[in-house]
Amino acid sequence: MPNDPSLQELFRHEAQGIVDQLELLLDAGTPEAAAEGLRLAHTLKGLAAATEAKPLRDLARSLEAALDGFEPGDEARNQALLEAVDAARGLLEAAEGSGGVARDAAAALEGPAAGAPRHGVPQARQALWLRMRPSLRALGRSAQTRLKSLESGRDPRRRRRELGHELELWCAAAGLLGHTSAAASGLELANFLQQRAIPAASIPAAQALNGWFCAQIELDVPLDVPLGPEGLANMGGLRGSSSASERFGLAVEFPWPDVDLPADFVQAVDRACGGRRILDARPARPSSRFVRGILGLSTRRSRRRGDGAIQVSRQRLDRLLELAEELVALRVRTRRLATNLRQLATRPRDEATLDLSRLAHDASELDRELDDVARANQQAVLRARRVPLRGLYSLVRVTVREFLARHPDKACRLEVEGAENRVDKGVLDLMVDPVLQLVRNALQHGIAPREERRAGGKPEVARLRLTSKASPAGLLLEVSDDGEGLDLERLERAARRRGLLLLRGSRDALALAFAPGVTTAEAVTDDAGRGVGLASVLERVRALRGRLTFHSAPGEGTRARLAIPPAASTARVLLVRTGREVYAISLGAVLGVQEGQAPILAKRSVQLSQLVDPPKVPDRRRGMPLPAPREGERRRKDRVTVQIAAVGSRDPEEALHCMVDDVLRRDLVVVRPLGRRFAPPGIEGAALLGDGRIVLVVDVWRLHAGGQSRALELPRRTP
Amino acid sequence: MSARAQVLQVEAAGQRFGIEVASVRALDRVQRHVRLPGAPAYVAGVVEVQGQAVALIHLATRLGLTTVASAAGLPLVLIDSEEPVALAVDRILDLIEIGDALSEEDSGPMAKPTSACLGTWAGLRVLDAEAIVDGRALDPLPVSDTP
Repeated sequence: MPNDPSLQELFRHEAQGIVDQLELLLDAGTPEAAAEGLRLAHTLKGLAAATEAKPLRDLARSLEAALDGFEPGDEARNQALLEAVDAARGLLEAAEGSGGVARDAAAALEGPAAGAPRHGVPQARQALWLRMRPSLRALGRSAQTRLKSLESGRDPRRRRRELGHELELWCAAAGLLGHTSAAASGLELANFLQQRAIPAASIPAAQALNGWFCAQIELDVPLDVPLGPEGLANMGGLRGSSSASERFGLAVEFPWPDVDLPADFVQAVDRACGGRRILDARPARPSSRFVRGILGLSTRRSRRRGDGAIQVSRQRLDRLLELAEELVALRVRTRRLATNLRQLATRPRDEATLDLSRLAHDASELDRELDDVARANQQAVLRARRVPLRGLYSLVRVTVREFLARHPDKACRLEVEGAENRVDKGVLDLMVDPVLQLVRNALQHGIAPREERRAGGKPEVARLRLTSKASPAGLLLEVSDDGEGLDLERLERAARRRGLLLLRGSRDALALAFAPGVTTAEAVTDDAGRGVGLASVLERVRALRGRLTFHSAPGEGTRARLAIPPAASTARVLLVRTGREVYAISLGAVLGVQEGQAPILAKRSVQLSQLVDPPKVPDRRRGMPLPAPREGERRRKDRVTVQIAAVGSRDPEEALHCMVDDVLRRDLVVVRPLGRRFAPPGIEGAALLGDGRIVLVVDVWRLHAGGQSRALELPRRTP
Repeated sequence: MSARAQVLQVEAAGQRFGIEVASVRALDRVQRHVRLPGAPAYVAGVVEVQGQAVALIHLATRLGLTTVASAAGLPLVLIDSEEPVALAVDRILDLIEIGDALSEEDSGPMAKPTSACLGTWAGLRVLDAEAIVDGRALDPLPVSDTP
């Protein structure tokens, strides 16, 4: 893996998210979930390849292959898939090693006969792949904290670390043995600690911890059950042994292949783990009939991926602190105002009138200042969330390097621009996949081998450009190459093979490149062949509420432009009324407001009421909905037109002219996303106004485009 | 469902239904809600509950017992699903504990599980909250065999 820590962090964060999603999808076990899983596995493979994580890449490839042939009801295969996902998780979190797990899981996936018992997926092992690790980690950390607090502080630092480490292991082991031996493992721990010359004070602590642990996992086990000399054994009739090592922590061996784990054991562990699976299990030796569960490895592993942590400069934190202090000061003034008002209420009415007027003025002033501080606070937080695109650019560089290393017949020079541009961290996380996919696509499909390029009169070394521009309207990111362009004929053939209805014309054929399952690749390789790459790009762009503009001309190369709007949960909006309804439009998208209806020659002119609530029966003569005034609506000429900028562009020529009945005011609101189940495309969320009203926040462009189809924009057909 | 479970009894279109308490996140009343254009007819709009904007489903309409009706002022049950959804009901009755297996004590058409109901217990139809709120098509409810 590349040495750049920020790159590794980005990779781990992204890959962890994918693995989490994969697990959920596999649990669902439906064909739709498998299709989505296939897309994610493809992405994981690409990410792993980009970061030179070869075992993970191999595992992701096996996952992809297994998901491609997914059939509901094939329990053995599903189980093997789940194991592979767990192995992927283990790989991601392991500081080193674990390649054997990946190979084992990959072998299980690629077994000869789906559904048949295969080596590496014994039933007992399946049972042990339960849901436990994250909670165990939490337990381990708590245990560590507890015992650390008991220490006198005289112990050398190294010993304290060891102690914490061992306690973490104990927690992991106790979780594994939860059914019958959790209590006994307390004593085991005490012995263990004693042998390691841990202060005697820690023994009662360990026993207390044991009780605490039992309470955590709701086990009804007496605390005085002794443990046999062979270590952690006799678990629900299952004989095993344990050993401790500095590197791997506590390893527990079970004779898996011939043993069914007792159901109550499984349930207890399941309960203990709160819905997660055990990290890791592998054959101890290739010829062994034992599988070793290794839990709670080195302390390095307990460092989580940071949950998308962001580095914030001290200057920005100071600004946030200043704003927080201002808020406190305003709160004091609000309280004083309230007190004055209460006192005023006790005085005779005439006498109070003058003071009331003064207090009303104070209240207005306070409101204005609160508004200013809230706005500044929002801006400061949003700025703190913004991170540079450097990490993404590094990933692209590695992707290119890695691809060229595997394809010595191709040569390419990467040109970049705009790495210093910043975007919201959440947006960046969602952008990694589509950008890498576009780059891989360019490398795989767009750029021909040197010989071919030379024969075609092009320089041997191809050019791949990654550029970005940031503006208040969002981020514009472009991936372009001087390659061969999309082969539309092959694309059409591929689409026909998939049984997709093909509309004539280059614009439609280009759109097919984004249809799931359509690929021009002749064979499935590490880089292409399943037709999920571009489809997944489009999906991510939709999730980002962005747009993808795609140009490709035979022999001239391909250009993909991603326009991503700024992300924020709070937003300044323009409140508009149409009929009886009030809607909010993101102020960042508004170019201007003018009285009267849109100019007759405006290219894109719409009525908001018609967009949010299209008429049931369109006027077929005119080919568009009848814009008849509805209840509460003004006549057309009295309306107000709001110019809405296209994503990534402030050009009024490209703006949408949206007619409403009234523009009410600007407001700062918190946008709450609506669930995906019922929110129609173009309804971005809801916001609660100060007077308690709820308004829908609309994306007029998406409403105009009729929803998600406009996430992709292709060049207009030329005669 | 096995063992004993707590069920919230609600009334919609004059009929009693049960919702597993485990599926309920909060109870509230529809204060202000806004219409959600383009949503299915049984979605009464969007309502604010506990600081969240959630879709509001009119239960009786969802079950096909009435046509679209206003949800203003009705009690609501916030269902704890992946994406929280509120159910507007006519009345919230009480909490009861039901036991053992559903439908064991009942017979007749109502006792049969449907896509909307997990089964019945002592004549009370226990709804499958997840099915109600996830937007899938539901079987028509069997006709009540008791007055």
